[in-house]
Amino acid sequence: MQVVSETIDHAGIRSRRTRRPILWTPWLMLFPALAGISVFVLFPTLAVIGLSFTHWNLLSPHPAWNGMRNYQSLLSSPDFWTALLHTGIYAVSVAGVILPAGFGIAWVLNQPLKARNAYRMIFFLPYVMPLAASGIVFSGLLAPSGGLVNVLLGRLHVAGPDWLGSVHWALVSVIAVTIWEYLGFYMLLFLSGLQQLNPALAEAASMDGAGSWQRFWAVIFPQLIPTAVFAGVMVVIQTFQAFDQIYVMTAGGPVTATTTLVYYIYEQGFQFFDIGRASAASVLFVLLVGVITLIQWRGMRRWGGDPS
Amino acid sequence: MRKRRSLWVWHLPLALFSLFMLVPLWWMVVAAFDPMRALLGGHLALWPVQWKLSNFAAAWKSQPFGRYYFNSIVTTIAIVTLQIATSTLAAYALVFLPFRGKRAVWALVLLAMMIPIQAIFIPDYLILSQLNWINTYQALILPFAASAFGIFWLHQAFRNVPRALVEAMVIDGASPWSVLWHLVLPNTRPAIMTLAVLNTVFHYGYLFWPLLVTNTAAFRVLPLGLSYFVAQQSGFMQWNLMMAAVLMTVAPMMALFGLAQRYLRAGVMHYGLRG
Amino acid sequence: MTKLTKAGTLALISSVLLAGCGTAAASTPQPVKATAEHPTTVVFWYGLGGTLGQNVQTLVSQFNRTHPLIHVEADYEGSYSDSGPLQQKLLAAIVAHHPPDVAQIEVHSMPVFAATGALAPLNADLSASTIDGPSHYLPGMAVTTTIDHTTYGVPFNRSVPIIVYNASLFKQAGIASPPTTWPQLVADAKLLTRHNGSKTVYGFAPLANWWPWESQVWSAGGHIMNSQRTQASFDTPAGERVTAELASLIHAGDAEAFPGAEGWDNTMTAFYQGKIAMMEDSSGDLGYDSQQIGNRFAWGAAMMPKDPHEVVPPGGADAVIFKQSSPQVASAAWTFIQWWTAPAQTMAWSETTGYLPVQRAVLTNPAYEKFLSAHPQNKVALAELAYQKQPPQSAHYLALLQYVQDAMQSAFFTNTSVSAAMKTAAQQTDSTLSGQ
Repeated sequence: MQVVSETIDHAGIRSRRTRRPILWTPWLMLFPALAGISVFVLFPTLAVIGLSFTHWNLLSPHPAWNGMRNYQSLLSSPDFWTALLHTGIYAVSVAGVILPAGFGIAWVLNQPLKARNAYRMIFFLPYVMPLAASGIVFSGLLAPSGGLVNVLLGRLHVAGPDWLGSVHWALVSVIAVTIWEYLGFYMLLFLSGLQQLNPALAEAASMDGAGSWQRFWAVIFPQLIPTAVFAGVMVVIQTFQAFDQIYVMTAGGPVTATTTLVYYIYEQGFQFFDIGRASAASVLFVLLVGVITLIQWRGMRRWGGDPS
Repeated sequence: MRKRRSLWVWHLPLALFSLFMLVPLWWMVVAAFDPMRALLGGHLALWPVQWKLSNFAAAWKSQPFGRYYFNSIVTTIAIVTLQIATSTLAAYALVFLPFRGKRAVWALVLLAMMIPIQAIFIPDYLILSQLNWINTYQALILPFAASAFGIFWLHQAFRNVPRALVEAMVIDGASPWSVLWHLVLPNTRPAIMTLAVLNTVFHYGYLFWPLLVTNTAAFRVLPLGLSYFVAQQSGFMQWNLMMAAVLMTVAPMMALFGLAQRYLRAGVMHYGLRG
Repeated sequence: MTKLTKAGTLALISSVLLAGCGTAAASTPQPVKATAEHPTTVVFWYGLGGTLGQNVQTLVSQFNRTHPLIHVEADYEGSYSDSGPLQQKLLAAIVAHHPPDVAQIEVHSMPVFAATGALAPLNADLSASTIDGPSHYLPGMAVTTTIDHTTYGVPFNRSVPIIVYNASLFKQAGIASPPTTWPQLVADAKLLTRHNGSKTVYGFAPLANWWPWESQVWSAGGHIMNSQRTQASFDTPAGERVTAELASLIHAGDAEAFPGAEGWDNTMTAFYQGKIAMMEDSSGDLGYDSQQIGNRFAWGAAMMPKDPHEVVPPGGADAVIFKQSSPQVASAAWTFIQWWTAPAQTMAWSETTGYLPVQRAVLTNPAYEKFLSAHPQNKVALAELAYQKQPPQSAHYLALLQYVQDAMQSAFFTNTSVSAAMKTAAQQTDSTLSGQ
C-alpha cells in the first residue's frame, strides 16, 4: 500500500565484482515482461491515441486523418453520455453497496463469532464463478415467467417485471449479479485490513461500551484508509471494465439500458467497426479511470494515508 | 462474557445474507438435475422433481465441452505460469538490482497497470491478426504472458524480503538467479500463490478476450462456450441443460477453491495489501 | 559470466516463448488431390440456432455422407442477424485475413460485406450452373444477391415477414378473415383483445424489430434512405405512420410487445400459449410454429398488411464464398452450395423449416403441391414474393438498422414518441453516414 508515496529507488545492492552483471542482468530479466507489456499494452495505447484522430472502418486500407472530429461528435452524442451515465450509475451502485457491506461483514466476521469461517467461505464462494456463468444463472433466476424471483414475488401477490427485458430493471439486474459476485472479495480485503490493525488499538476500540463510535473514527478508521482506498481503486477498475455479465445477460440492451462505456466501445469497434470513434471513446475512458484513481490515491495521502 | 453472548445477534443477518449468496448456487444445482417441465411449471423450484443425470450427458453432447475444458485449462495454466515467470524476473530486477532508468521502467509499469485491455483491444486484435494468430492458442495466451499488475504485486512482496539477507548472499558471490531461487521465492510464496490463484480465477472465467480472438469451437474456452450454448438455444432456453453446462464449467473452480482457499485467505489477508 | 547466464537463459527462454510460439499457424495448405481419407475441407460459418441449427447440421452431415471427397465443417458462430456475433466475427475475420470459406450472410448486410472486397464474385459460376442462377430461382431472389451487377450470393435460406394468427380466437371474436390493411389490423386487434381478470389475451404482438419496420415504412409510402443513400429519410409522417399506430395500440393496452434481445422468442412463446391473437413473424419460423402449436388451436398466416401499398423486405440469408479460399476449396464450396440449393434439398429444407424453396422447379413438384395443401400457411410467403423490395444497398445499413431497432424499443416500451425516437435514429444514422 505504500506504493505511491515511496515508489522506488532504494539504492540497490552494489556488487563488489565486475560491472558487467550490473549492466545486462537487470535488462535481461526485465526483457520478457517489458516486451509483453510493450507489445500488448503500451504500443496499443499509443495506437489508440493515434487512431482516435482518424476515421477508419478497418476495411479501407488506411485510416484517414479526422482531426478532433471523433471527440467532437462523441461529446455531442447522447449515446456516449448515456453510456457514461450507465457506467456511473453502475459503478456508484456497486461500490455503494459492496464497500459498506463488505466492510460490515468483515467487521462482524472479525469478531470471535461461531462458524465465522463457514460464513467467510459462503460469502467468498461466488467470486470463483466465471462472470458469464453467474450472468446465465441470474438470467434463469430472473426469467419473466417461471424464474425463481418472479415465482417468489407471485407468492407475495406482486407481479414481477421482465427484469432483463425492462429498460428500468435491466441495469439493476446486472448490478445485482456484480454485487453477488464480488461481495466476498471485498469482504476478504477488509478482513485483511482489520487483521493488520494494531491489536492494542483494536482492543481499545472494540464495539462494546460507550464512545466506541468515536474511538472507531479516531483510532481504527485512519488505519483502515489504505485498505479502503485500495478497495475503492479495485471497485472502480472492476466496475468500469464490466463486460462479461452484460454480454451474456442483456447484450447492452434493451434499447441501451445496459450499454456501459466499455460496451459502447465494443459496439462501436466490433459491431459498427467505427474505429476512430471507438478509439476516441477508449481514450476518454482511460483518462476517466486515471483521474478517478488519482483522486483516490491523493485522498488517501491527504486523509492520513500511508500508515508505514 | 457479556460481549460474547451479544455476538449471537449477528447470526440472523449473517444467515439471511448467506441465503442471498447461496440461493443462486442452489438453484443452479437444482435446475441442472431437473427435468425441464418442472422449471416452467411456475412452482417454487427449490428441489428437483427428480434427480436427472441425463441433463449433463445432453449438455456435454450439445457442445464440444471436452475441447472447451482442454482449452480453458491449457490457456489458464499457460497464462498463469508465464505471467508469474515474467513478473518474478522483472520484479526482482526492479527491487534488487541497480540500473539506470529504473524510475522510467517503474513508471511504465504503473502506466500499463492503468490501461484496461477493454480500451486497447482494437490495436491488440490488429497486432494478432498481423501475426496471423487469430483463432490460435497464442492469441488466447500471449497478450497476458506479461502483466503490469503481476510485476506490481510481486514488487510489493519482494520489498519485504530482508535486504541484509540479500546483500549477504550477493557478497558471498551468489548470482541473482540463485538469490531469487533460494531466498526471494521461498520467502514470498504466499504472495506468489495468491497471485496465481487470483489469476487462475480471472483467466479461467474470462469471456471478453476469447470472444474477440477465437472463431471456431476448436479454440473456444468454457465461458465462451457457455455463451454460445445460450445463443444456440435462441431464446427457447432449456434451463436444465444450461445449468448442467454452467455447473460443469464452475466445478473445477469450486474444486480449486476447496483446495486453495487456505492460500487465498492467508494470501489475500496477510499479503494482499502489505505485500 | 556464469552469473548472468542462468537468469539470462530463463529470460531468453521466456522471450522466445513470447515471440515464437506460433510459427506453425501460418502455413498454407498445398493443393493436393482430395481423397476419401483426405477430403477437401470447407469451413462453413452459419448463424441459425435452436431447431433450425439442428436442421442445418442434419443437412450438412447428409452432404458429407454423400460427398466423400469433401468435408464441410459447419461452425455455429451465433446469430447472423441483428448485428449478431456471426456478422461481427465475419467482419473481424476479414480484417484478420482469416475468413471461412462459406458463410451465411443476412440479406440486409450483403452490401456491407460486398464493400469489404472479400467476397468472391459468382457471376461466372452462376451462368455455368445448371442448378443455380436467376432463371432457376423464384422471383425476387436476386434483390439481395447482386450488388452493382456483381452477384456475390446464392439464396440459401430465404424468408419474408408474415402475419401469423390464431384462427380460433378470430372466430370467437367474430372476425371472418385476417386483416389485409394496417387500419384493419388495428381495428381487429382492438376487437380481439380480451381482459379476463388478471389474464389478458392481446389482439396483436408487433415485434420491436427493424425487419417488419421496413415493411411498415414502405407500405405507407415512406423511404428508408434517400436515393443517393447519403441520408436517412424514414423520419417523415409517412415513414412513421404505421409504427406510430402500433405504438399507440401498445400503450392503449390492445397489443403486447416483448422487449429485449429475447423479445421475438417471447412473442412466439406467448402466441403458442394462446395469449396473443396475431403476431408478426418470419416465414422461416412456420415449421417451428406448426410443431409448437400442434392441435392446440386453429391457426393461419396472412400477408403483411398494406397501407395502401403491399411491400415486404426480403429476409433470411444468402450463402457467399470468400475470395481467399484456394481454387480447390472454392470449387468444393461451390459444390456444397449447389447441392444445398438443388431442388431436392431446398424442398426438404423448406418443408421442415418453412423457409422458401428457392427453386422455381419445386413449385410444380407434386410432392410440394401436396405439402402446400396440407400447410396452407406456407403459400402466403410465396404470394408475398411478388412484393419484395430491395432494401437500400448501403455499406452502413447495419448501423441504420441498429439505431432503428433501438428507436422501436424506446417507442414501444418507454414514453418516447415514435417521431422523437425516429428523429434520434435518423440523426445517428446521418452522423454515421457522414463519416464523423
